Amino acid sequence: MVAFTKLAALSSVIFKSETNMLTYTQEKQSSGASNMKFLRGAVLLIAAVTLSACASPDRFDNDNTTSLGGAGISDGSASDPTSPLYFQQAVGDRVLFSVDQSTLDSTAQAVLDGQAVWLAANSDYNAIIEGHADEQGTREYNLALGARRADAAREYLLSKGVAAARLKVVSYGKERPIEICSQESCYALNRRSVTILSTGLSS
Amino acid sequence: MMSHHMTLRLVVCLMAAMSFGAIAGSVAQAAPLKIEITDGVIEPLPFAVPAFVAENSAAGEMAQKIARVVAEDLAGTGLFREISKDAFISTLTSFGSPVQYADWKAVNAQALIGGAVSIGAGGKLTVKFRVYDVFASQELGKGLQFSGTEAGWRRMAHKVADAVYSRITGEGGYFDSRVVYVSENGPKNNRKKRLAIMDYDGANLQYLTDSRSLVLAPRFSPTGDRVLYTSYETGFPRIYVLDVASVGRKILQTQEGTMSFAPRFSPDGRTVVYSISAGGNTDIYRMDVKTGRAKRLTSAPSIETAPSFSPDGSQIVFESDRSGAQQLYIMGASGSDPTRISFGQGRYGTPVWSPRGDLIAFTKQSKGRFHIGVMRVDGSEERLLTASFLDEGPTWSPNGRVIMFMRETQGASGASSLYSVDISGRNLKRVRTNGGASDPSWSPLQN
Amino acid sequence: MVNTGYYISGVGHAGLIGLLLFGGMPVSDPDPIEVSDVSIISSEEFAMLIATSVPPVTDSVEPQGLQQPEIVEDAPDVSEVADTPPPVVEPDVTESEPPDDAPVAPEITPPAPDVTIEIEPVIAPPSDPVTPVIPTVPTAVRPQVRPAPRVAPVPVAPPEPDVAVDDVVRETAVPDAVATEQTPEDQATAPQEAATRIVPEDEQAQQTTSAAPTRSARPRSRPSRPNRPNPSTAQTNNNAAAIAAAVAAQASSAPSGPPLTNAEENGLRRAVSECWVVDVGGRSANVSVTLGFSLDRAGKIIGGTLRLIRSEGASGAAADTAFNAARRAVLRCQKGGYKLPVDKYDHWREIEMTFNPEKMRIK
Repeated sequence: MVAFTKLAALSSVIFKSETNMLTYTQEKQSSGASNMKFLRGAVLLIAAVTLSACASPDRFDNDNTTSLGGAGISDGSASDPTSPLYFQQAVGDRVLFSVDQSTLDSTAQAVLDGQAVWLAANSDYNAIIEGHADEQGTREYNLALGARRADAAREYLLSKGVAAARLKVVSYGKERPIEICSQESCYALNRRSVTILSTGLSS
Repeated sequence: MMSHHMTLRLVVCLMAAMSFGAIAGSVAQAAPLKIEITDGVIEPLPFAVPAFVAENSAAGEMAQKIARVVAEDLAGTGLFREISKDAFISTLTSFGSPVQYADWKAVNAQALIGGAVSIGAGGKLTVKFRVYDVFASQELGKGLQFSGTEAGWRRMAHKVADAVYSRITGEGGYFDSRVVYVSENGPKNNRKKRLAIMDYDGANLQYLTDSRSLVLAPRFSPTGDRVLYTSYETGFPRIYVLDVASVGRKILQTQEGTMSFAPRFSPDGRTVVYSISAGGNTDIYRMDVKTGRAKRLTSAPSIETAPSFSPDGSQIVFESDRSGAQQLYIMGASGSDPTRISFGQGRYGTPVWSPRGDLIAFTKQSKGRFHIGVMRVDGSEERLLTASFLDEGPTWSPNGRVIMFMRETQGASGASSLYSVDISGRNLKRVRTNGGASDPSWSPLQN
Repeated sequence: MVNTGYYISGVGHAGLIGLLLFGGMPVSDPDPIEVSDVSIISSEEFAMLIATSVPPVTDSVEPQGLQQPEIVEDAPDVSEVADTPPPVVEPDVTESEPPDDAPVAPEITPPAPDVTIEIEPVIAPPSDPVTPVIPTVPTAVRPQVRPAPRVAPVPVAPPEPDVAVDDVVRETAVPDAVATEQTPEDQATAPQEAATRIVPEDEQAQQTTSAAPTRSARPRSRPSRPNRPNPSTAQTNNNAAAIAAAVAAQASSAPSGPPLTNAEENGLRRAVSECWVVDVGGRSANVSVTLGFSLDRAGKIIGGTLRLIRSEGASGAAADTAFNAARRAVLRCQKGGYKLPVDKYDHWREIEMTFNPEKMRIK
């Protein structure tokens, strides 16, 4: 189910022209049903070809579990230096920030240095950098703050030679905490930017 | 006790006083005694709602239901207190019969609401009502009659309550209104959100989106028929406009590769103001709805977001951290002359201009707590109305009298719900919703 | 942790392939369609959406869910044909988890009432002379202002837990040696608890923690406390009251007597204040109104003399509301008549009373 939703979302991007047609179709029931069949076939095709390309536009689909193993590149294991799992675990996919700050400390810079090296070596991958905030702030401000953090990470990676076209940013503000207590121990881990690998198909 | 002598003297004095008084009264009228009263009481005004008269047998149940909603609307404001029917000495047996004011004075009812309900052919529902000022022994305004369908009975009850509220307070009502909000379920780290709409009192709940994509901060259009909101459907926060009647939705076209959020309509509905984040910088834009042309209103490297128009559309209040921390600013509707208005300790965000135009509601963070507060548009006379672990996102009732907002509880099991509070700081209460709720937006009065 | 993620992902993918290859999900599943139904539109299209009602693009997957129920017209329904009431989803407050199905398009807005007619007033009978007895409120000294449902010039201590709030203070009847059945009248009551000002929530919450933002209390000045009228005075008849007043004023031989003392004026002021209900959040709180009225010798308002002399601060509904509130105050608190010295009747037979809410007003 989880992956199904993701693939469905992916297909929606790929078949944008089809979906436009859908949107402006006046007959809601009949044409909708036939298009559904068409799309299901298309999904099947795409699924067979690029099963691994399941980087969803919204990694935090509301119906999803919070599995971090979203990047299901085949043959991935933490010991394979070209695997996303290696990137996530050995290189480190996230950096943390101080309260209401978006500056990168030396620890964060070291992690990002590693990411830049990895991305240089694995040019098949693009990345979406997510910015997050803790819950101590208003919703809109935290969205803007998360955008600052994600962009700080992106700028740093650019400065290390990663091509701009390979890096996108998205902010979730305070909407997607990974730790849920209302204490600094949790807040510290929620003030983060996370680099999520993608294969480029979802651009 | 008194001696005869004293008694005699008293009587003489008394007679003298009375005769002199009579002369003085006829010859030289004393000037009126002038008294100034500066202290009053702040308390709910007691009112009585006797059972509404069912004018035909089919209307019996409806008469009860409508009278109940009217009473609940009024009592729910905190400005009125319903007197228990057990205390009543008399009742209103027919809509046209004269009122025995003495009976209502005796139970200390200051306002009396009489009503009658009938259901005609084809299910046509008719509701009539009158309001009486008991101590002045007179009717307050003229009676009114509403007709409609049975399905719309709650709206008719709200309209009656709005009219009664208006007669007594001199202000417009807010009962015949709706609230769009984000319905929430699930734990903090996997919260499902979707748009919901309901009557202001929680009745007639409907969901407007499913919960597949994260949705944030819906905002009503000035006529209440459309809703702006932010959704992650594409994977990135983008602004959508949703038609309430058809649930059809469209994305607001903003620059590719940017994130857009915090939208609000202008009072005439022709313009949308919103924020765009690009390159880590968040600024405010406005888009002309007809032409789709966007204009950038701020260009500082700081965060500028949460814009809200003044009721006349000439100004925009917004939040910015250009001073180093979140504060409130007002600028012209085209971005001219941004002027800071908040100067208190702490951080100020999510400003919303009151429909009356005189106040700005905001969220304030200070010393680890969140508050909903109001200030005048020049930033003076700040008052905090609430305090909790997390209060956020005020929205005004259509008459500018009540503020609804979101309150989230602390900790791993934290959940959010909607609350409302009178602008006097009284009558804080939870709003009935189905499950968790956040980001309320109050509609205008329906017509 | 991460391996778990992989595991889940793997199972998900395997399941997906299975679903796609072997017939997929039941009829109701094709969620992907709904993800794809929103597209980027041009400004013209956006304008069209604004201008016209666009058919829904979000369809429930259930075929029957696509059916639009009858919309009840807002137009006056003169038809004799029965309307089909639209389905209305009543929120089920007992349900902890709402159904998470696709949104429902039908009948989002309940129909509006369509006809509004004014009704002529009923001719009211002459006002009944009976007026209820409204108690003077006992004074309570309270070191700290605490929130209360009522804000009054004089604070009132909260009632004992088992005492009902009432407008009349009643002592519990002391049971006689011979036990009698206790009537409801015999239950002890107390006036409603009152604070001297509104205490906002942040102050309530912070009174112990003192982490609240500073907020100064509204300054309050109070008239010097007058001599309270002897409670027994109220029980005596008017003649006796007149004699008592004359006794009090016996030093004076001038028939109209000296002007009212401060204490006497304050007594009247306070009596009216207790009944003046101010809506501090309303626009009427910006209005100062002056009423004129004539009193008879018993201190009761003479019918037909109560009038508005002037109002300042606003006009229209706010001024009307301020006048109504002031009128209710003087009518409600006259009880059996305002207690004023009869020998000074000429000094108080005509009264101009100004109700100035400036001090009460929230700002």
